Amino acid sequence: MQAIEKAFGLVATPGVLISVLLASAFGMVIGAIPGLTATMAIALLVPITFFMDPLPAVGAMIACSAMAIFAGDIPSTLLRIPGTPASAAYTDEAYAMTRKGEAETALGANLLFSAIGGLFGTAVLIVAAPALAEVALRFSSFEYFWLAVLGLTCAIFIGAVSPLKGLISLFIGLLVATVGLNNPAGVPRFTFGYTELMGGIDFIPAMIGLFAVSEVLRAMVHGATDLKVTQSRVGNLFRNWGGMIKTYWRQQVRGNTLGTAIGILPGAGADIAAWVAYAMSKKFSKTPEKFGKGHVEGIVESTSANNAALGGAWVPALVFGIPGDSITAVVIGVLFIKGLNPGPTLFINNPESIYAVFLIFILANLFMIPLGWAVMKGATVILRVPRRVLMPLILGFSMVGAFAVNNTAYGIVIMLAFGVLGFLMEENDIPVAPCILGIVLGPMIEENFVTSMIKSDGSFLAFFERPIAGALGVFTILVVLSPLIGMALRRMRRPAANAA
Amino acid sequence: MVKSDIIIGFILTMLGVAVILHAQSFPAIPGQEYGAAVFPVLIAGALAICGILLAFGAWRRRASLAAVDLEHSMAGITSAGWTKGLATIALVVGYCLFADRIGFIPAMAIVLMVGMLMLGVRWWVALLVSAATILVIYQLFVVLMRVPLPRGLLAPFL
Repeated sequence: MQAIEKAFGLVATPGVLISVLLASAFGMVIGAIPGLTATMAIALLVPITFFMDPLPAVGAMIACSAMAIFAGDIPSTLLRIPGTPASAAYTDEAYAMTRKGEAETALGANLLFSAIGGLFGTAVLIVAAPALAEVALRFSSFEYFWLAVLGLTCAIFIGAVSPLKGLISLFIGLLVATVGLNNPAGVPRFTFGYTELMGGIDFIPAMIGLFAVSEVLRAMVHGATDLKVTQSRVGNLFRNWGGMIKTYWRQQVRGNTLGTAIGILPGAGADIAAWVAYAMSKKFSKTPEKFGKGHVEGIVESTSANNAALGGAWVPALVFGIPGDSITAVVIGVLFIKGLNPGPTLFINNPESIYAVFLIFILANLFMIPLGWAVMKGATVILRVPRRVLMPLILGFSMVGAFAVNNTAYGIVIMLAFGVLGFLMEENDIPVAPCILGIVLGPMIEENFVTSMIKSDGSFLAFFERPIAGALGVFTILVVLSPLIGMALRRMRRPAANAA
Repeated sequence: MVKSDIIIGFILTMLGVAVILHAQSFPAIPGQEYGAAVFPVLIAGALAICGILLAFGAWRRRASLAAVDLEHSMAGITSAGWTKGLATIALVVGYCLFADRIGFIPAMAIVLMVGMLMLGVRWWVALLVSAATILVIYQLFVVLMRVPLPRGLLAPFL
């Protein structure tokens, strides 16, 4: 209890509150602009948090990502362009409501259920994380190795269009992570005599390149078109909130639970949660025929799920240091830089900072309602900001941000290289998110792998000998094989169908 | 996608092989089997295998999906698009090379102005937005966060 009191003291300072509020507003605006993702908002924010104390820095990122995920619903509803990938699952549904003149109901539902979903995810985080930390204390390098591999595997094999291309992206990221002196043997690798490369490839400029600069290059190459806003005014957003909570409480609880569960799964985050929740809502609905024609039911469930997933994703992030999605991957990287190494020991040595993080979660989800209202009211202005003005600005901020990390132009060079890499990857349908997961998790996987190999004297069987490690290992292999199993099942069914 | 997948697969395989060969030069730790080379060799090997699978898969469906190749997004890029993309890269490289000498403010002004003009923003809008952006960046990064952005030519006035 003492730790909780201390945590209140840590959060209730002007520095923390102001940075959370400003980051919320920033995330809200970036998320609301179509084509600018929550990850990009974080990428642009990280260089600034670099100069803050650990707690306001983490608070700012939590608030920014929560707001951006929510704000992605705004262009999704008004323009049929998802602001962030997490909104894509119900974009058509929400836009159909706008065309029926029910944009206010859709936006209001997004705002209300996003906030509730976020609070639910946070509640689970508060209960589950310390309990899991107790278990995690007994983990050895074998368990950590499997957890990290499981996270990466889920990121690639669940919901991916092409697992092969996801794997390629991941291996590129892992290879990038091997550059420099930072390895168990302490040998300079792939530095080619450049002293700058000794310290490894800084993940912040790399991330800015992959998520922001690649987008600028795409706009330059393909041209940036401006958007047409169909609905010019947003009316009363709070209409029928009580009614919606009463009618759709089942969908909401289901969305929250499912979203949190998917978020906790290492490697799966808000995007996947929204897709699964939407599909599930349709399956269990009494009126599935209304789906896709502007029905709020599916929106309630999936908008709850994507914000709940955000809280859930922090469970593996804080307890094991394993990111649930690319946003938590970035935050984990920043936590390491700030000396707050995520892992079970954080809960023992620094419980007040963990509780402070939880408090900021709650705060961010409460800020969401007034800020969300303001952004929705101003949506028609924000949506009209022309992309061709915005893209060069993003480039400018990216350059200054990449420079500021170490105060050298080397950061800008890294940023540019990864910007071009990200552009080429996305043009060829190779996803960039596994790459950033690989860069962040690479050192951890290598360390645990090499330590385990040394401990077991090169026997790979030792990776399955401890019960939890063995279970995680088997689960990982099942996820890897899942596309093959699915294929085999379809093959078996097809001849049967032909025969009938 | 067929042609590009074969090319990418080939590049990745070559990269993997190059990394494996280069990793042989990493010093081994005496009396220790698992040194600096183990992990990179493992990853590079996996990358090379993925490259082969990608190219092989594309090769096998080359006949049936030849028409789909037209939909590949890079095939739709005009030469003007390529020029703008390369010009953007040149702007960033130029900034790295010259910002120290001429200073952050003029260098950033060039990046922002040229960037916006390339995207078809009217010149006076570009000028106003560039000025405002530089002011914000200056206040945020130099005044508030004390980042030593190069002053260059404007050093006597800042």
